[in-house]
Amino acid sequence: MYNKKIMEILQSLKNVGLLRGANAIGKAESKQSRDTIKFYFLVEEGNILNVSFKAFGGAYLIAMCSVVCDVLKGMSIED
Amino acid sequence: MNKIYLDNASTTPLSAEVLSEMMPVLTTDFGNPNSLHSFGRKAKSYIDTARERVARALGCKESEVYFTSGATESNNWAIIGLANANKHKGNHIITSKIEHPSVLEACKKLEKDGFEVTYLDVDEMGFVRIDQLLHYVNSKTILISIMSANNEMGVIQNLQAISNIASEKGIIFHTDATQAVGAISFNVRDMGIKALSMSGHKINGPKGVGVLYLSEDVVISPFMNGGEQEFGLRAGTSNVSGIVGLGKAIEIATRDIMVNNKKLRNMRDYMIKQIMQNVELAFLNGHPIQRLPNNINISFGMVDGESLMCLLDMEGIAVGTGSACSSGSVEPSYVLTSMGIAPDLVQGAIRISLSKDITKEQIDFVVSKIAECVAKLRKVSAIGKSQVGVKE
Repeated sequence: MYNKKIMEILQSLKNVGLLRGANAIGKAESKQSRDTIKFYFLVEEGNILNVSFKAFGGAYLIAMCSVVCDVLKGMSIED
Repeated sequence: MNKIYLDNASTTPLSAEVLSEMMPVLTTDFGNPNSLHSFGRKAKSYIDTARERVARALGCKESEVYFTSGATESNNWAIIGLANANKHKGNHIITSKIEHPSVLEACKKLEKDGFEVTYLDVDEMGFVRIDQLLHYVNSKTILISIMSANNEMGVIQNLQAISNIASEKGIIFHTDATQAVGAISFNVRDMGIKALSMSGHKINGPKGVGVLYLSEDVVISPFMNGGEQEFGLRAGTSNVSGIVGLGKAIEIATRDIMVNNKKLRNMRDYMIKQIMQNVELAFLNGHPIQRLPNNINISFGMVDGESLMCLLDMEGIAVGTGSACSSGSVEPSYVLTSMGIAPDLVQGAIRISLSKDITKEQIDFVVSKIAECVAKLRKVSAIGKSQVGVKE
């Protein structure tokens, strides 16, 4: 059911928990289940300096959040 | 890594005793039981022995035992076949909201064909509401189908009470006993059960074989046409090795039922206690005593059951979330939801189903890993402690 990559990400989750100095929060909830994701952003002059997450949901959701945080870091809000 | 398999409600390994009974049929005694020559007669004798064993285990006649491809087929056949063969008497069927999909989907098909189906609620402990059964039974009711024990939360239903109501009103009572055979002693005649479904692979037998017991005084439509197998009601060359395996498996399960149940109940209760003592915000789902001796269905607050299952899998521990048939679906468990459990705890449930070979050392190890994995997931959780169990 789970591929190797997902397993690897779950074993060493990054970007977990509240973010010190965060100045923006993004939250999404599923209508079908209790799946919930929250992203905490540190944004300066339109650039995302740091991101962290909290999630309630399946393994894929948690792994995805961890990866998305890495992708978002360094991007601008415009991106 | 030594793996620990705790998903025996999903399927069980084939026992060595069963395999050794099956081997001749898979090799030298390969005949088609419908052939008239010696090879065929030999194969038929194997099926006859298996049928005898099933009949002895269930407390019925051999002529009331029909071999199928598994419990899903047995359930489909029982529901649809009994309804269609008895529609001149009425068009109302009663079942429960927590049945296996093979019962529920068969009932939905019948609704499209003009039958009326009542789906009974369960209470917070997982028992089918007998008061509702009494309320909804009417002169048009031809079939009551209630599972013996639930595949997810393991609660054993009050079969005798349901059966009594059915027989008083002259209604056919079918029970899906897939999870219960080997855990409950059945005597279908004494219990007033008119139809019963079961499967081989849940009792250390092979996959791909099941049984529909059908009392001789009820009428059913054939399931498949094109042959005289299974008394002309279920055509198709018999799965001889599977049938032999099921026959041996049910014989062993019945023979060892007392010993196995005693050990499993001890282990189950020990594990529940250990989890409760070592992991906070853990909630047992279903009645604590009137449940299958090997079943633990437990919810962990702030944690998603599927994520927990994944982390435990990485530690070499196999548990289930809900039923294997519906896991992978994004829909939360309809069984736990029917019991009125809060959505986050429905999502936070895992099912641990023990085997008779489990040891206390293994349980201690698993509980320590559950505690570790739950802690890890709680660090990530977007649900706070104060939100656990809140019903919206």
